[in-house]
Amino acid sequence: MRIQLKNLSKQYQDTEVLTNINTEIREGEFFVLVGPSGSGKSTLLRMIAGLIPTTSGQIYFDDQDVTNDSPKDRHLAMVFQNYALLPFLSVQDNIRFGIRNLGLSKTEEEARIFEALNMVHLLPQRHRKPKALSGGQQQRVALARAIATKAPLVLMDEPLSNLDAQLRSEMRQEIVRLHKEIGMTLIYVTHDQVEAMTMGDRVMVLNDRQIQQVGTPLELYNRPKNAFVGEFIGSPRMNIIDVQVDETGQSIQLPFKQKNGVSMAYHLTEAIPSGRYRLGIRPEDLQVSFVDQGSHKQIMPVKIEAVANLGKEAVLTVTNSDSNLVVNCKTQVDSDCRQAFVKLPSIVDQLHLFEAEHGNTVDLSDKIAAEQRGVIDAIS
Amino acid sequence: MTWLKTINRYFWLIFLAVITIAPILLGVWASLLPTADIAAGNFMSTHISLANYIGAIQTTPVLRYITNSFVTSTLITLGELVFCTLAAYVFVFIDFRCKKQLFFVFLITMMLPFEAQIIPNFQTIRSFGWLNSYAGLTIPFFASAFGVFMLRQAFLKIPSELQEYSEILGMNHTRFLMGIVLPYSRSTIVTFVIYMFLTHWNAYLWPLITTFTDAYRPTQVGLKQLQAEDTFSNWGVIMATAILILIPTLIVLIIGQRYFKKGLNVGGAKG
Repeated sequence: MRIQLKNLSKQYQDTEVLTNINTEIREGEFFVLVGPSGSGKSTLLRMIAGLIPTTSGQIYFDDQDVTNDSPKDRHLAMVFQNYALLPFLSVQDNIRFGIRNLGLSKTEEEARIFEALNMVHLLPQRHRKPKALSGGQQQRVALARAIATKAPLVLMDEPLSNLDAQLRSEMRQEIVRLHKEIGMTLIYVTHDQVEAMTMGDRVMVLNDRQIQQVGTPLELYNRPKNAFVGEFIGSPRMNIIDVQVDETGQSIQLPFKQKNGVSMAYHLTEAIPSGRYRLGIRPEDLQVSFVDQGSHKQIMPVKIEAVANLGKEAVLTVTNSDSNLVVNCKTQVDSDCRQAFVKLPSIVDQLHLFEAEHGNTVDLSDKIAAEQRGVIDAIS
Repeated sequence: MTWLKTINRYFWLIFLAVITIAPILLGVWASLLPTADIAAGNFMSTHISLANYIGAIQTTPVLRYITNSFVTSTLITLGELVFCTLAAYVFVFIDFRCKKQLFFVFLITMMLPFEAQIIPNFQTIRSFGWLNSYAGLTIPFFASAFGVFMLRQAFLKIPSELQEYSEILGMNHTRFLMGIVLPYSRSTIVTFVIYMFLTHWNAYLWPLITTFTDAYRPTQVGLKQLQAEDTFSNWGVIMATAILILIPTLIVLIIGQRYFKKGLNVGGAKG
C-alpha cells in the first residue's frame, strides 16, 4: 500500500505537536520514523492508524482519502511497544482474537494461525499463556498476530524498546526478514538511530514538530540536511565545533592549535558569508596516532580525557585548547595513555558545515576548485 | 539463629491463630452439647450429638433465613457488579468534561457513613412501598462508590495500547468491555464478588429496620430474633444455627480463594 501524507498537522489545545508533514511512503517499503522522545513520531503513527484525529491535512492510502476513516476501515495491523497481548488468552487464541473480525472460515483461520506462528518459530509454544513466554517471544506473538491479519500495512511502535540489547539485535533481523518474506508496507517508529539505520529502506527523521530529513540511511549519514540529523544519526555522535569564517569568507577558523601554537583553519576556494558556523566532524573521520610526527598542518596534539575501550576499537574523549572532541580509534588504547595526535579530515565529504542559527547544512562541495574536489587544505 | 527465628515466628503465628479461631471452635463445641449442659456450665460434657442441628432446622426458620440472605446477597452482588463496572468503565475509558470533579464527588460519598444514609434511604424505600421486600433489601446497594473506585483502579491498570488495539479491530465499547476489560481484570472481579457477597451476607442494620417478617429476614437479623423469641434461650440451638449460617460464607471463601489465586496468576502482564 502506498501512503501519502499531505500538510498533516496536529494540535492539542494551544500546543502544536506536528507541523506540515508532507511525505510519501512507497508500496512495500520499510519506512522508519525516528526522532527523540517528544518529537511527535508516535503521534504521527497513530494519526496514520486513525487512532488520533488529524487537526489539518490529509492522509491517502493508494490515492484514497482515509483522513476521516476509522482505524478498522483502514485495514492495517499494529504492533505495540508493550506487545498489547491479552494475558488471559493462549498464544494461538491471541492470534485468533486478532483475525476473528475478518469473517474467515474456520479452516482458513486455523491455517493463518499456523502459518503466522510458524513464521515466528513459536508453534511449540502455541498453547502457552503470554506470561509463560520471554519478552522476545511475547513480541514475536505480537508480530504473528499482525502477520496473520495479512494487512497490506503494518505499523510498529517501538516494538523492541522493552527488550535487552542482545535480543534487540536478534529481533531486528527477524523483523527485516519477515518484511522481506511478506512484502507488506511497514512503518516503524523508533527513537534508536541504530534501528533506523540497520532496518529501514528509508528513514524519516522527526524533531521539533517537523520533518528534518527523509532519505536512505546512507543519505542521512553522508549528507545530513542539518546539524540535528548530523548529530542524531551515527554513533558515537558527530562532533559539533563552533567555528568562525573570517572576513574573506574563505577561511574556516578552528578553535584548535597545532604543536607550534598556530591556529588551524580550513581554506575554501569560493567565499561564503563570514560569521559564526558550526562544523560537524564524525569521530570515525578523525585519525589518532600516538607517535609525534612533527608539525603537520592537519595534525594537532591532544590531551586524552577519557578512554572507552570497546574491544576492537576505542572511543577517546580528547581536548585541544579547551575544545572537546570525541575520536574513534580503530585499535585498543591503553587507558593510562594521556597524549595523542589527531589528524583532521581533508576530504570534503567528511566535513559538515552548518549555519550557526538554524543548523542548516552549507554545501561545501562546490566551494572547492574542480581540480581539488574532495580535498581541502588545513593550513597554518 | 535461623531456627530460633523460625520457632519464634511459628510461636506467634500459632498463638494468633488460636486467638482468632477460638470463638469459632468454642461455638462448634457448644453447638454439639445439650442446652442443659451449657446452662450448667458443664463444657466438659460428653453428651455430644447433632441434636441441636436437627432441632435448629426443624424448629427455627434458619433455612428460610439462609435462603433470604443468599437471595439478597446474590442480587446485590450482581447489581453492584453491573452498575459499578459500567460506571468505572466510563470513568476510565471515556473522556468527558468534569470527569475528575465528578469522580471526586463519587469519592466524597464514601466518606458519608452508612448510618447517616439510613433515614433518607428508609423514607425513600417506604414511599416506594418496598419495605419488607427483596427490592427494599437489595436496590439501595446496587451502586457503591467503593465498588466503582475498586474497579476503576483495576481498569486503570489496563494498558492504553489494548484500547487502541481494540479500536484497530473495530470493537465497540460493549465488546471491548466484555472481551478485554473484564477478562483482564478477572482477579479484581473475583475479589470484588467475594467482598461484596460477604459484606451483604453479614448485613445487619438495614435488614433489621426494613424487614418485619421471617419471609424476608436474612440470617444475622434472624439469629438475633431467635435469641429474643426463645424465652428460655436455647443456646445449643442458637449455636447450631450460627454455625449453619457460617457454612455458606466458608464455601464462598474457599471456592473464591481458588479463583482468586488463579486470577492473580493471569492478572499481571510484563511491561
